[in-house]
Amino acid sequence: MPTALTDPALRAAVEHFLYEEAELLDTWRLEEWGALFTEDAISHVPALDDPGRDPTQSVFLVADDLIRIRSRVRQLLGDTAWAENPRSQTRRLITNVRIVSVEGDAIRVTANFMVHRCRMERISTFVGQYQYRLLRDGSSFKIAERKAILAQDTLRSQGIMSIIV
Amino acid sequence: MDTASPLGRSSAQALFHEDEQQGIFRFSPRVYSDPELFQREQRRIFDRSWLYAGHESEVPKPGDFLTRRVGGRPVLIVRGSDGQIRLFHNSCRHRGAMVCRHPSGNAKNFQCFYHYWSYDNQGRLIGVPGRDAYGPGFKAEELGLYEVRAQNYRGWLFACFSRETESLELYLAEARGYLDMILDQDEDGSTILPGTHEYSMHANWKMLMENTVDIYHLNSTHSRFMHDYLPKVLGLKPPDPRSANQGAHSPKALGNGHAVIEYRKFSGIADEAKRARWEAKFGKERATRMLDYTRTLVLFPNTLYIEQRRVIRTCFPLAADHAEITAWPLMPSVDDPEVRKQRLDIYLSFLGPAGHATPDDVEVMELIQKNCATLPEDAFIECSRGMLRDNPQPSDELQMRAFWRRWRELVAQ
Repeated sequence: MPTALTDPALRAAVEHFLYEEAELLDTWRLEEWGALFTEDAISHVPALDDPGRDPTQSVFLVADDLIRIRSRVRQLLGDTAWAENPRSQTRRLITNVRIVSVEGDAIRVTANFMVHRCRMERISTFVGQYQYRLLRDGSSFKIAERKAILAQDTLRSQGIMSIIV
Repeated sequence: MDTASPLGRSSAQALFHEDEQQGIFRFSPRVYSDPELFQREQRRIFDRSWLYAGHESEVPKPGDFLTRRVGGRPVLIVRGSDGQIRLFHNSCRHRGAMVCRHPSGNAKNFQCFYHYWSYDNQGRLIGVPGRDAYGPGFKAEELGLYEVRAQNYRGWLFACFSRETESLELYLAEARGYLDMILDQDEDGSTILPGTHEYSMHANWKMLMENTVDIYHLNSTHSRFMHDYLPKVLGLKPPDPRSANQGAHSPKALGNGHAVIEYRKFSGIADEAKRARWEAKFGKERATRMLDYTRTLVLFPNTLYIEQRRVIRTCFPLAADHAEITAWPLMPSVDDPEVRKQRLDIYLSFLGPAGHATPDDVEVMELIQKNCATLPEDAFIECSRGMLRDNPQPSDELQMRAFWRRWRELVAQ
């Protein structure tokens, strides 16, 4: 008997959702990406030297709520996000998808990522773990929490992180 | 003198063109790209200047330590069991390996794993396995970790790798008064929060020193921040580009290459509760400047403080065309949680590798760098804005010229 954590149908639905999300980001369909979030959603990239804290106690790399997610999307789709104009090419590999807990409609999921970015002859890679809290939304999900925990101690090798990781 | 080097042509005259009458200040793009000038900077600037190394709040308890590169050198900053903060070269006196390999922590002793020589947290050599193999000339008391000359200015720890350089207080010149005006605002002291931004750019380090005090570029380079984040997230009117110029306070050269821009706040944390107290404590003029104006301070060579965003930022060259940038959030030690939240948002929304401004700054600096080494021999970078004005404005380039004049004195002459 599959438990909620190993239910193949749930796993397939979660994986499908994460792959679709990655595709939206890689194809710069950022407005559709922004629409995946709940009204009280957060999207965080925590501090590299202190990933366990909350964003009121340390300076994160990204600490967006929905209004900030939408601003980031508008900026990146506009003409004056110079660091992404012309835009980067990105491709995301999402693996090791694990359903960590299921409580009612809320599902906690972790997944490993590798985000490849290429722009102006330079290639950089961001690697880490996503931690999601997804809420069931009909046959799909909404994102209530999205944390990208980078598995690196500094961003010296990439320089900056102007894309959504 | 390097007469035989290609720098024969990089004399002050060849690198800089200054005409006080015509209001012209220009320099060769080679100041950003010439590897020989980069070497000279290492010797004449980074080997001799006072460099920001850390903050005492990062090592609050005896035994607290952190390791980082300062001026390119691996340094161990540690508060000894005696309560004193010391800076050491992070290098064993036996064969030279780094004795501490952790970014931070608390330790009584540091042991080099190569042969297990160990040091206490005051830098003294306390353990040498097989000590009997050494003769009478081997004196443990002479083999403590190499201490770095350091001074603590109101919590800011500075290092200097030369014994000949003047004291920090003299070195800071008029910048000291501005640092005081900034630090006086944190009546219960200041604290570095976790969340150091450590990133880099493929551009010359000096560009960041200029860029950080460049008001002129805000409306163009940071258009997306000004016209989206400010109004649509924070509900603030984007500042009139001219309003930064409406303060009575000009950009100022502060001696030794230090400079400041000081302008009226267009956003920030309301501090009205402090006004009466500060007027009594500091006088009306100074209290007004502390409350209604904001400053960005350049401490030559490579330390920046942006008061509005509460960031201490350093930029150190790895090569002429590659620099590492480190930014620390300096917050009041005692802070209202709601205000702290706003401060962090003001910091993060603009600054950092994923902020809405820093990536665009890095982009433009890297675009400059791509041209520096390849422009015609007589090409120049323009740095003349406001040169003939009686009252220079923050959007002028006086603050950059102050930096360059000192740089020219040290490197190009």
